[in-house]
Amino acid sequence: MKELPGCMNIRIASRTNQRIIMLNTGINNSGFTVCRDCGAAFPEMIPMC
Amino acid sequence: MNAAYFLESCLSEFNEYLMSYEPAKGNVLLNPEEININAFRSALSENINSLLAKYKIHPELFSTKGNDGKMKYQVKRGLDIAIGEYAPGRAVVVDKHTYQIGGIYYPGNEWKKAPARSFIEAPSYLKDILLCRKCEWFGLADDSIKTCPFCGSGELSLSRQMLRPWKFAPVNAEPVSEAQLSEEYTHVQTPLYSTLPESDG
Repeated sequence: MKELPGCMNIRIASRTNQRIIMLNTGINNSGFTVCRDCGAAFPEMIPMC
Repeated sequence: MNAAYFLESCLSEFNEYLMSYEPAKGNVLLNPEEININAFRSALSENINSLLAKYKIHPELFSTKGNDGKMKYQVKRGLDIAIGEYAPGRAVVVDKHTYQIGGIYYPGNEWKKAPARSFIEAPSYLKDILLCRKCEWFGLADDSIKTCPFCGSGELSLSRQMLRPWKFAPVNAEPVSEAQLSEEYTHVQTPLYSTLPESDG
């Protein structure tokens, strides 16, 4: 990892084969309800406060 | 018969058949006097089993079955696309029929009382996500992570669990009419890059 001249808090690195997570977090970030037995699923609809 | 059905439903039976198969003498393609039939059997079996492994790594998503219990349609998309387009609640049109996605499907377990349980409870599919309340770092939960790898904060908490789907299946495996359809739209977030500073490459 290299430092960036003039930028105290920034470092540079070139990396391959790193993990990227892609999520579908549902409606208003409320996730999905999934039945652990049969797999039936639907988006949760918790109203935003 | 498509390849997916063969790999899921017929492979073990085919392997048994292959091991007992004896080609007739003078067979144009497999003359037992000219080829080592045992080597042929094991090579063919090995190659087909490697196809199964590849198929499992790239789960093909969305399926619907006909009245005979067999898969009627399979629409294939990469997992990154499918978790948005085929997420539960979304509607898809296949062969001019509209289906609403109603669940996660794991092939081969249909006869079980709880067909999804073994899949959903497998740690390789249901994962805990750690979240730092201070700097919003996140990553897959790991026993070795006690403090935030970025800001050092001890305010780590378990976020909602993440489920990696295998396939998606439509509600009741049948089309819905436009009048009954109430589609719920959900979307895939921007890809999250959670590499740690020490994982230098």
